[in-house]
Amino acid sequence: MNDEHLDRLIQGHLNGTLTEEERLELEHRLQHSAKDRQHFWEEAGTHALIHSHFKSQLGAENASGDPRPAPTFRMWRSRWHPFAAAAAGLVMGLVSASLVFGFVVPSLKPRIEVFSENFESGVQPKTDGIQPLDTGYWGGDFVEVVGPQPALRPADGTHMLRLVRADHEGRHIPESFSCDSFRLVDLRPYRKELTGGEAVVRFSALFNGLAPNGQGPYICTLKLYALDAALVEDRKSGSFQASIRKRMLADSSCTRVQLDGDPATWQSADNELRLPPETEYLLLQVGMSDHNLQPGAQRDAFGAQFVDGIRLILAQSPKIPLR
Amino acid sequence: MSNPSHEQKVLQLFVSHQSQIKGFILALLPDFASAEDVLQETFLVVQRKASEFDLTTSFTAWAFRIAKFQVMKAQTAYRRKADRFSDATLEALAECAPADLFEDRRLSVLPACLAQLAPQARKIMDLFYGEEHKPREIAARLGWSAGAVSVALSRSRKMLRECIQSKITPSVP
Repeated sequence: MNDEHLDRLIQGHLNGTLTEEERLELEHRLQHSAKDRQHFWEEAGTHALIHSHFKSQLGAENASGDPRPAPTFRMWRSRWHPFAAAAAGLVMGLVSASLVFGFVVPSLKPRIEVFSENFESGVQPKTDGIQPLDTGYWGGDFVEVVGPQPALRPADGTHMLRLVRADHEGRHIPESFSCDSFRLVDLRPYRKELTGGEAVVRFSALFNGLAPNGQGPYICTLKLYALDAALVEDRKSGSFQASIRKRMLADSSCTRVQLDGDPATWQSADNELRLPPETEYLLLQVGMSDHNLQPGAQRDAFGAQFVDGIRLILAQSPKIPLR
Repeated sequence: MSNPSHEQKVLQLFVSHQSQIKGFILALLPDFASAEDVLQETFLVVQRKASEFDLTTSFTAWAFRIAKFQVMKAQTAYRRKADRFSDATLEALAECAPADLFEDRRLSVLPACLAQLAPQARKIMDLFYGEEHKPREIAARLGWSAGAVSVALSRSRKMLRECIQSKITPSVP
């Protein structure tokens, strides 16, 4: 076997495009050859170097308020970046409570209910695949507000949200396996609560649904993004169309809870985020993904999975002391 | 300002070595978002175990060990087997991970090398590394096949590696 083949395997790993057979082959070579491992680290080092360059470039662009040209497709599969805030605190010599900025706080006392949703208004969400540009509605993938179903009743009241498809109007994405809907919440009325830097939000939702044999497992997901008004305005005016990740203030880790498939019980999932004091809006993400690994499994269609009882609580919680 | 405590010194070491640690994680986990999560988890463990670290020993070796275990933990959630290394492979790779995964001088010549890429190749690098899209998403956007995007990424990376090498290797008079 030549190095060109090893190269292809390593590059496939770095691109995330290896097949299972190729993965096994690469693993065999890496476990048995020091030379191959050295080659791996050379290629992986370049990969890390390029990523580091692009990230630092992005940071510089964000700092200068010079957004990049707008990509036009979905970009909301993101994660949290609280370490960046912690690192900033360290770099500035503030090795203190700022280190825990953005991390989950375990003892949260409910205080202000900022938002709740039981879908009782019957207002249908937008399904155009666009994260809401304004408050007052849900938007994203194909979902719909429905009444009681033959095997399943709403957690509260007479309506609930049904997750329908992992894509949206005008765009069939057969390879997609995650159905998400978003809601923008205005936090500006709570500015006073946010200024001290001790504000934490808890976002919770109830999930239910069927997971018949041969389907799923289904993973319920929740996530939060803290935004400022300038970003919301720029998105609304169309002057900023890139991923909110590029200009968001903070985001939470993604909560992932496996659906038990028992329609008799509603499962609770929640998510927390410590809010930067300059937060003015929150973008809520609620969704579900189908993790069926059977060959040929069609994972873009849902239909028997539901969400209800969404709540957003704002509370004050002191930062965890470092010593 | 008073002298930094032992824990503060360890956390400062984490910050100063974060590129190396992130690079180590990125090499083992092909998914950028997961790598970011693992970096966060590694930071939390380093913070928790700071008192155990001996400041006279190699910080990167210690942090890489913690990061390796966090990678192992994160991989259990992976859907596809093809997206994860076995623990044995991770152990083997971690054992020989270079402490200085990339040097500053390599980073400093990278922009000049990127400028040598063809516009389409540069765009693909931007979408992959900057926007963190997967090859199949890039393919959908550009109207290419996912395989063609993967090949373009691989070629660009190889070209950049060679370009960087040529720029930092002193020429023989």
